[in-house]
Amino acid sequence: MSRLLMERPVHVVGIGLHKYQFPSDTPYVTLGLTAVREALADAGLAWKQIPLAVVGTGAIGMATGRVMLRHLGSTGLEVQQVENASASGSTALRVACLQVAAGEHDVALALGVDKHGDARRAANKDGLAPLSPTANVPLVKFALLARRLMREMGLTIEDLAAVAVKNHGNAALNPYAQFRKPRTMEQVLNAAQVAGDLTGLQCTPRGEGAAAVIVASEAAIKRLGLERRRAVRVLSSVSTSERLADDAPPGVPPIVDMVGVSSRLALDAAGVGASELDLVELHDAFSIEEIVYSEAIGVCARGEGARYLRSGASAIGGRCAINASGGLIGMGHPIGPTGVGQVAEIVRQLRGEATGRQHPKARLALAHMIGLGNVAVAHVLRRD
Amino acid sequence: MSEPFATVLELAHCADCGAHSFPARVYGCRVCGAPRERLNAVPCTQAVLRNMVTVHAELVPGLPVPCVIGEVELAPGVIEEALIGARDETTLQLGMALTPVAERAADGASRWRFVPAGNPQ
Repeated sequence: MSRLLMERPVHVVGIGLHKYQFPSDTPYVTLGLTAVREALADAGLAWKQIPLAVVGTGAIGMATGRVMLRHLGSTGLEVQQVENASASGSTALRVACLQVAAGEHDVALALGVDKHGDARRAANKDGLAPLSPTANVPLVKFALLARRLMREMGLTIEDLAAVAVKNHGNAALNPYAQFRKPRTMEQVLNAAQVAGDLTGLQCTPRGEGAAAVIVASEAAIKRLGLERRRAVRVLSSVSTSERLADDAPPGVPPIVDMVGVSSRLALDAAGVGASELDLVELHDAFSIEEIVYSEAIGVCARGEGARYLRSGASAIGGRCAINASGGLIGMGHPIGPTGVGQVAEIVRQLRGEATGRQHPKARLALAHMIGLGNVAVAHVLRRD
Repeated sequence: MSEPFATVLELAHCADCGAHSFPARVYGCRVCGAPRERLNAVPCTQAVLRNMVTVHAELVPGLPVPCVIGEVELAPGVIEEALIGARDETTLQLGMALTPVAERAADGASRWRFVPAGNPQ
């Protein structure tokens, strides 16, 4: 287990976003620069003080960073680009944190930016014909997972819909969210059926946007005179991928096993337990995911996810607020930005600055993202 | 990608560990990673239906909806998503045997539809 971040503290000192929105003619450069400028202003830093930018994108293409960032000034900074499907932004943050912890730089920017429509999937180019025409459609996979868990765990369609009701409600309070309307149980259940028991309002929308996070070492916070009180520490960063179904505990689908393993590693590395978490932002591209991942992460016991949700424990003001941002269902999932946006929301909450949707007394949080493949990236953050 | 039309669905059987992988041309054994030279193509004439949903939205060009998509067990531990040849879910039962039937896709390759065993369509 890597404990680099425990030995060499790294803090988030600035956050910024461009609102997630439906596909538009807005150039990606505008999306990205909006988020970066907001993060710089939030941190109280000038662009020339950023020595490293790690850009996470799934769809923009080669050299996304320089094409965009030169408009802030060509300072000669190191620019990297990472692609890790839906976890691209989370991976960019992980790279930025580890570079700072390793001492390569003492400040770094992690930026997620994406436009919808240009992503190309490697799974369609592996030279192997899939058995099903839907083999690479995540919606169908999660509709199948939902059906399986409804059968095995006694979940109901109302349990699935309740995730969407909560997260659309949270998104309505988030000015950066793509959806801004609260939805009733009836509206969610009566929305267009898309696959299995999932309706359209239980699925993440297509969209675009940007999110930026600036991280810094203890020494940089002092050297640059940054506001220590608003800094939020990144306690751990973990990345894993799916293992063979035969190696997972009996009855646990491989993707759920991956979420469990990655979050456990992240929590262990941070030296905290799941029961201590005040906030979790997780990948709820489809409603079933929040129920089953909240169990896998350990926020509630296995088989208790739906009851936990129904009890209000995962609402803002509950025991552990899950997807206070509105999650992927409500805030949106522009791919590259999503994981960075999760951390921006957590930082805002831990600082006590989430006006209108503030979870009280928030101190410890987990950001958990998954990506096609499947891969997982988890970060634990704490307000000191 | 375009592959020649085949009428028999094949799996790969690993000479090293005995596990099955799908498809037969897979680059390595899914369990032990043995290279293709250690994998032998074996026919898959029957599968077991493990899960299913009806897809209502047009998610894939050329795939008429509604249609039933299932998870079928091709060999022990090899569960794949597959198109099920049934008008609706009520005519199917989990655990039932299914037979793969090849259809010629637009690119000339095989497209597989799984129908209840004994009821080839």
